[in-house]
Amino acid sequence: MLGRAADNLFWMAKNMERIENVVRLLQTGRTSNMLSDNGSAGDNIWEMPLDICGQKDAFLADYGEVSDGRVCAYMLSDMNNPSSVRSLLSNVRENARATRHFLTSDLWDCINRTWLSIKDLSYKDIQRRSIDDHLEWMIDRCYMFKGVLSGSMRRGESLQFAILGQCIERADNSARLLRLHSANAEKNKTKQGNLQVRDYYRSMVLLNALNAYKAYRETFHSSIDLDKIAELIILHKEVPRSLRACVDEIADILRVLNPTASVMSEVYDLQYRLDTIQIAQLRRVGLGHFLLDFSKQMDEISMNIQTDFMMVQ
Amino acid sequence: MLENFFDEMHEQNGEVREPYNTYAGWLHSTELEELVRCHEQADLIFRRVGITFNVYGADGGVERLIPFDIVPRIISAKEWDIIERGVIQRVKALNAFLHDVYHDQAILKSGLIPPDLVLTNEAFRPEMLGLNIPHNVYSHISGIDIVRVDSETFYVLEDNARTPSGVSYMLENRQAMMRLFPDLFAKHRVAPVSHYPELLLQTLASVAPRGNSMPTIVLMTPGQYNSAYFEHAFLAQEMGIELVEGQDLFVDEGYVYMRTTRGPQRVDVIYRRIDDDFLDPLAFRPDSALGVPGLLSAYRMGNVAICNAIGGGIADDKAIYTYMPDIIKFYLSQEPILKNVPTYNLRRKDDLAYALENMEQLVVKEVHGSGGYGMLVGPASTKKQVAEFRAKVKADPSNFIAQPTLCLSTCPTFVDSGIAPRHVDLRPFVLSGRETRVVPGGLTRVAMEKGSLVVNSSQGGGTKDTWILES
Repeated sequence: MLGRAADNLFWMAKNMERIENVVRLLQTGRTSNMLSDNGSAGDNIWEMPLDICGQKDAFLADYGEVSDGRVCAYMLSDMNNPSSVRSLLSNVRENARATRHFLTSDLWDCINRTWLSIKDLSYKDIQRRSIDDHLEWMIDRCYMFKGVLSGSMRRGESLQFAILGQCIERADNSARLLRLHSANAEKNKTKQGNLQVRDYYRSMVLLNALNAYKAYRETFHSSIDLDKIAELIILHKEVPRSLRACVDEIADILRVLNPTASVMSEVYDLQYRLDTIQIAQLRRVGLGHFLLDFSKQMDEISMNIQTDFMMVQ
Repeated sequence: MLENFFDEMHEQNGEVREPYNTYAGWLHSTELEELVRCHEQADLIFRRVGITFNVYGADGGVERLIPFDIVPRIISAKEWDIIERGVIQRVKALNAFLHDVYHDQAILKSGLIPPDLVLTNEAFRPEMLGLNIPHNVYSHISGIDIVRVDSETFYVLEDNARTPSGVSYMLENRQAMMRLFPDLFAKHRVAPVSHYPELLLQTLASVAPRGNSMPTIVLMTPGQYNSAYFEHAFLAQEMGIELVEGQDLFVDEGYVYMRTTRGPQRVDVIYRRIDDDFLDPLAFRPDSALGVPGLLSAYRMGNVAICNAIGGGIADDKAIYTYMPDIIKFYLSQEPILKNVPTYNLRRKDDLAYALENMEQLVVKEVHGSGGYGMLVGPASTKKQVAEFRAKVKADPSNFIAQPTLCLSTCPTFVDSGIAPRHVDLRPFVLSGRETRVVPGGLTRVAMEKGSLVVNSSQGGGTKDTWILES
């Protein structure tokens, strides 16, 4: 298939995955807002979406200060924000339109309908209809995208490049969230207050944003604890958003696509590290360090996939 | 009803014309609300499938729907027979003419056409001189615009031998109509059109270099912001071929390759939807970012087929158009089956004098204009507009032709006030490769404004499904 088409499919799925991640974060923030001070994860929960997508400075320049409403408006419907749901979806749709002859008509229809539903929606419109309903609807649309993608596309290169984009974005998001969370936990250690309860709710934010609360309970049968969360999100391949699960899937697809040896060895190297590392070891090198390293390596792999297959120079 | 115009559905005395017998009965017995519902549903179908065209404007391009009309344009088998034979004859003559002007130039030597009209024309490509291409076919896909003025007479308004578009509407309109009115299709024997992409693929394969039996065929688009992008993607998908842009192709040692995920792959046939000027920055416009450097040289070596061929534009030039009856007689020794619209060639002194005198009654067109731009519809224009155009013509007469205002036929059309007659034309698509063929149907364009004679989509025209009834 055409390298440029592969590139479009890759970004289409990558951006769709990013939309889901943004929406989950906003949902988590909304839930946390409803809890009392002790239960809330602190004010900086609304900084997380900005931190995750690297838009904090741009946001502060346009909106002044961080508040739930402003962040929701910025992340949902602001076309000046390249990471807003509306901007991302517009890109998804453009990518799909450029490659629509590779998509099943069901998949095109799913993307196009989602776009048509929100393209003219201002934040005021969303507020009028209920923000929570809108977020839930967006998650539904993301699930529908994934369902139609894997349920209707031929098992060929088009699907494989789309799933590569999805997995890379997912791994990156999990790593960033976990890194941010552990950094915040460090910062808050010295502060006064009922730490245990607060830590619990902060951790809940993380687990919910990664859709991994149920997996945590089923895996550990014990109380919520940052080390265990890290273990779950980094090492447990049964959890769809874990780094391990994502890297495994990337490796499986790449084996079929047969890239240059250097990409393959990078992926195998990453797999090997995740295979052999112990959580106690992670604590020694520092979770933050490890995750930063991981993100860098993912970036590298992503870049190399693009130069190998998509003629991106 | 608009007076003095031939109506496709009704005779002057109000009687229903034969091809519409069954449909008229259905239309009369159908409530207006039902038609409104169908109209809205059609709109939804087109929006969801994404059958849009791009309009360039101040805000950087918007996607628009071409208005689709739910009332079909119906043509009998007998009428179609004339059209079909006529357009095939015409395209054969066009291809013979193109082969001639790029080889022996017999028609120029015979004095039938003034040589300077061809040789100094911008659309004439000296690069094509002496070059032999498969089956001597230059215009592989031709769109012949036909208008009707009475029950007997069809005129050819324009030949399109470069990159005619609109065929996706022929196909999608039919799809939409079959979804909206399954019962009507059960009552009519409508000739199918959906095999067009299959015929197109066969046509493209038949001109592959050196009889390659498994050629790699691609469709080359200027990109997703081109107004016809939907059609490019649609046809590529229907034919199962790659949709490429210039940046996806490169030339190496005289061969054309595309950049795939598995490395370079040789390309044999390019169905291009991009103008000559932009094909190859080394040969034509050096600023073209859409083209492929070296493409012309690969083409000239016979290593790749380009459809339609480079330089075909000379055949659909409006000044050449006036000579079409002669061209048909010269190459085919046949009388033209379809007439030309009587045309005043303003490079002739008498014609110019007449046109300047009677401009209020005439349609005046720029020779190289297209898409309804650069033309004057005399009867529909103000005195000031006519005066301005007259000055333009005087300054450069050979750049213009003039035609009498045609009484384009009307067809019942769904508009705000209900069903009302609107003017229509017809563009059948002729495919030429090893054989010359045409799918029974075409694109019917309709001027949605009351009284308007301009059917171009860029000027607010709409489309209809075209039914050719089988006998």
